[in-house]
Amino acid sequence: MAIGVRKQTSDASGDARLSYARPLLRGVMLFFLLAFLLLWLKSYDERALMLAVIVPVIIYIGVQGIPRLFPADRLLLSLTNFLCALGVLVLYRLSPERGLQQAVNFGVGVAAMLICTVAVRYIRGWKGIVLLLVPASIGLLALPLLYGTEVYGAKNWVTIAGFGFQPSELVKLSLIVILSWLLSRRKVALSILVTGVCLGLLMLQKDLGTALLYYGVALLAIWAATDSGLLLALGCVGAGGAGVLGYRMFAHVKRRVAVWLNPWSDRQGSGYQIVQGLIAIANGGLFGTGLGLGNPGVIPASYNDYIFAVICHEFGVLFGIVVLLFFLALIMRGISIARQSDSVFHSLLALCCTALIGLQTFVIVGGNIKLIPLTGVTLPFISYGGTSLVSSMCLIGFLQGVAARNTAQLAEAEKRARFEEERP
Amino acid sequence: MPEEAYEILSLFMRYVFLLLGIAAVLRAFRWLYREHRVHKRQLKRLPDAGYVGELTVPDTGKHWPLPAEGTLGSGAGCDIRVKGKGLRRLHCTFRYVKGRGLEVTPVRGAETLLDRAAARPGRYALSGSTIEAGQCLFEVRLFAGMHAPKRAAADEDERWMDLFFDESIGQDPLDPFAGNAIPQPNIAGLEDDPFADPRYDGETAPEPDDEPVEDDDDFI
Amino acid sequence: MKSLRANIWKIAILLTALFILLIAYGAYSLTTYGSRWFSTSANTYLRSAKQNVIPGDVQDVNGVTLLTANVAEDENGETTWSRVWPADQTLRQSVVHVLGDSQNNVSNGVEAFMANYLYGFEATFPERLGSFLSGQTRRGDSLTLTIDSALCRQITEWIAQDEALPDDVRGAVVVMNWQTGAVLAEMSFPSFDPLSSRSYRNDAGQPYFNRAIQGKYAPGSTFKIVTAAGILASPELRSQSFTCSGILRMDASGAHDITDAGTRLAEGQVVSHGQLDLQTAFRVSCNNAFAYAAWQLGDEQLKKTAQAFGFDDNFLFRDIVLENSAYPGADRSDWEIAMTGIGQSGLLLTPMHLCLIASAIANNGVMMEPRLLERAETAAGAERLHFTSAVYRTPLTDPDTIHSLRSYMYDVVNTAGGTGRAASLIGWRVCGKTGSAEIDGQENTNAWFTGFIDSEKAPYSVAILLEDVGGGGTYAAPLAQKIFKYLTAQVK
Repeated sequence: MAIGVRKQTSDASGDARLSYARPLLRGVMLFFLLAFLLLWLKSYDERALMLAVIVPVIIYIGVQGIPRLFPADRLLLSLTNFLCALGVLVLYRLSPERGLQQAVNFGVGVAAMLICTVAVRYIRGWKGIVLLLVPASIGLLALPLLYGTEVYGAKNWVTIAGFGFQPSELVKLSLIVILSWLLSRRKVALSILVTGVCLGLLMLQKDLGTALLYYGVALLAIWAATDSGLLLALGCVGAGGAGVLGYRMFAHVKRRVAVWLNPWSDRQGSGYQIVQGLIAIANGGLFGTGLGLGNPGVIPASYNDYIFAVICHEFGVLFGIVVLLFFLALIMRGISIARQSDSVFHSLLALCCTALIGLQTFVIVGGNIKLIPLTGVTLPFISYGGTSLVSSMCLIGFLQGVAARNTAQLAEAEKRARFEEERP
Repeated sequence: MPEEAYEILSLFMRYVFLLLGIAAVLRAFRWLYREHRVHKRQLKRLPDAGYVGELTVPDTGKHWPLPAEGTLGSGAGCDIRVKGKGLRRLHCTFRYVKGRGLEVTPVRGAETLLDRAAARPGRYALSGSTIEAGQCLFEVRLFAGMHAPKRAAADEDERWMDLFFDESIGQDPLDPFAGNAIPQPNIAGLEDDPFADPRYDGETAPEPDDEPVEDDDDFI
Repeated sequence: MKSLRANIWKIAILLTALFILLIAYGAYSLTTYGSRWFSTSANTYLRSAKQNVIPGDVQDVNGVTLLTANVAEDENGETTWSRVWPADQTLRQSVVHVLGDSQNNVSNGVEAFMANYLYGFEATFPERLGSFLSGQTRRGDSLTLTIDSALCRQITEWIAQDEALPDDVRGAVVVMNWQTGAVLAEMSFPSFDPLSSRSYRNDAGQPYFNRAIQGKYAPGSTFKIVTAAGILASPELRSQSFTCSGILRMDASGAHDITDAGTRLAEGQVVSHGQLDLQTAFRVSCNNAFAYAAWQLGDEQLKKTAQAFGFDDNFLFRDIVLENSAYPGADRSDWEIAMTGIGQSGLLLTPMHLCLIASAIANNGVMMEPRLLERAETAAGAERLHFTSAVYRTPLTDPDTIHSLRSYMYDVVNTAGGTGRAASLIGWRVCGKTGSAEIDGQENTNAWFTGFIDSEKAPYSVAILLEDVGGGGTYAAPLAQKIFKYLTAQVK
């Protein structure tokens, strides 16, 4: 046999894959070093200089250090780190305070990710947890209805002791766990019921964008688990029906659709945001206006909803495509993690995380380029917002947990193979 | 920095950023593909990965590899597809629980007996147990190290320690190239199935892994 | 698990397809609408444009400099510049709506809308590098417009000298080349002096407002061009003869009578035209006939015809930001439909759109995109862009219809009984249509005239609007004659 071929272990993405990690890592580190240095040259703000050093270092530690201490998937970590750092960069460019705040959020996100990774990797009995999560989720979702404050037409924020957060972002995580578990035990009716209740609560809060995402992910998960074409068809019809219903019932849905079809008709009023976003993207052209040269502050909600337009504005549409491809690579990795798992629960969990990131990205970028009406969801990892970033990192944490479990299963199979050979 | 100089520099840097971005994306996809190929190779090398044993028919000796979690039935989507008397399209699901055994759950009341008693969650099959689905009799064989129950039979979720105890903690990944012969696949092939495991594509022995691993130190 | 894995793979393909859709749509949108989006943005960017670029010059089609920059060095040795207008006040007033003033009171003037050329945004990277290395302050591109400033100045004088019009008359004049789409004049009245220090914001006549491209008005009888096109397309109606009794009674109550009252008549008197065919009805601008015909034609057909001419469309022209024209919405009563046929009841269009409609009739049914930019040159003299004409849409394809409409419009100006006789010009085939739109709250009607010279040697079309003065044939047509006379004189 091929003795002496080094760096090949059964650990699929452990210490061995340095040959692929290193060049990617170095490219990414160089990117951020140069970008922050450029921003420093613009205004000689020491914070930029500090970030020029800190961000590449954190990326390095993240991709090389974390896997040594915790079960982790290097590829996933690299992609996530790049996207989060890009978020910090663009937000810093918009407003240094927000950039630094995002960096802090990123730190919290990484911690949350590690917790989620360990949880998914080692917990074997999920039934009890799910039983607790169902009432907790419904309660959390009901919270804004009772104590919430209205932001941009949707009542989905809650402030507790000075901390503002969106319960729907947290419930996103628990719903995934609940759904995956129920479906793995073939309790389809129950899963539809729980999803329905959550959706209903979200509609009451008028958080239609998040409801749309929940629905999409739940539909995909239910179909994947049951393989029932009937349920899929019903789900699609239901989506269409709900869309029409939402259009009739909610005035602001009507406005969003009208302004999506023709934002130019109300250039200064309700179409302003879309028009400014499109203008900014076109102004950037293929290569962008150049970092620090554009005028991104003109776009409303440039920090969260329209962050993609800001990226296309300053870095160019080609770079925007590169960012989309990064997301695609992330999704592909998530899919392969889901497929490699041997447990239905973990497989569904990974699938839901991947589908959620994918759908969310599609919805928000689609809104930015006027492919679909704008909804109030954020771009994962890049948009400003603590809750959004932390919940996205938790999704990655779940994925890492499943990946780590896959690796462990493979290691066990190795052990067994050797044991079988050594038996007489 | 004077505005004009910054303008020129930034205009130049955007091409640099784009190139770095493209290089990063290409490498990411290459890595992705590499992971996929490595995993496939590992599966070929470890034919039992993801499987906990086999299901046999005592009279005819037919076997099927038993995955850790899966479905049994006559329909196309089942992991163990058997056309037998009384077997529904989706007859039952089974799930290996570490330290307990194979838990078999009938789907929508399909007649399933485990060791001649009704199969339900909470009852586990071990090596040598029989499963009667419809009118078909199967025997369960679990791999070594998987058939002994570690605890007294109790609902797995009652014991909270179970939630966290996992045997894989502390295991070292082994180097399969430590000079040992590669184990042959010892389970008969599945019926024609587009999603069949690659190791069962008719090869009798997986080829040796001879692709050297490059140490890519350059990145641009 | 097997089916689960298969489904997961299918979901992967779905997500990939979604992302490819994003990328494809993004690329498509950018190429189709990109330049348009950028032009609109020029306003925002102008405010933050660096002061270290000297704007390029703006000239008219004959080379007359309309805008230039005076470059000076201030006490710190820094280069500063100031915008210089022509010395002649009348000239300034005539072109200010096209050029835009320095405070951006006029929306979408050339100075703002084409700032990408004037302020050097179109400079390539080597050019920027070159100017950076040489240390000289950059200059933006110079623009040559299709505008004929002498014509504009003359129009201002004619209107000022016309005693029939009040001093502060409100209106708009658009002159175009119907063959290429080049705009020779785009004027709005009252105008203002861009160099004056006072603010015109509170003036009653709204001088900053560019009526030619932003003002939306009821077209009145000029819309009969479109109605006639609709009638000619309908086999039943095209050869029908109409009876005009002076009053068209739309319903029993008598509250919705349509009369032919082009000029104020004494109480109880109505103008009755008797039996007429479509050609005659067009020539004398018979309300009865057209109202009846529109009602027979139906709202659907009339709307379709109007939309073929550009109503309800989102004008996305490269050089001009033209307000959309509107055809009124659905569920209308018979009376409203009939009134639409004669150009009232909810119809709205801009003077420039009317000029486009006339141009389409002149140009064999093909409506060309209105263009302002003749050429853009870099500071070094190299050409960055030159004029290209483009077809906007083709409202008419049937040669019979086109021929008929052209001859109807010829009749209006040249045959006895035509309402536009005042626009006729010896030796040239002038075609046109008058309009007198009734406006609620206005004592007099709005005077409209639109027309063209049916000759390839002088392919010009006009649209004239004069608010609150009276009949189109009396007030607007004479101005059209003067404009055509001026333009044809230059041909010989």
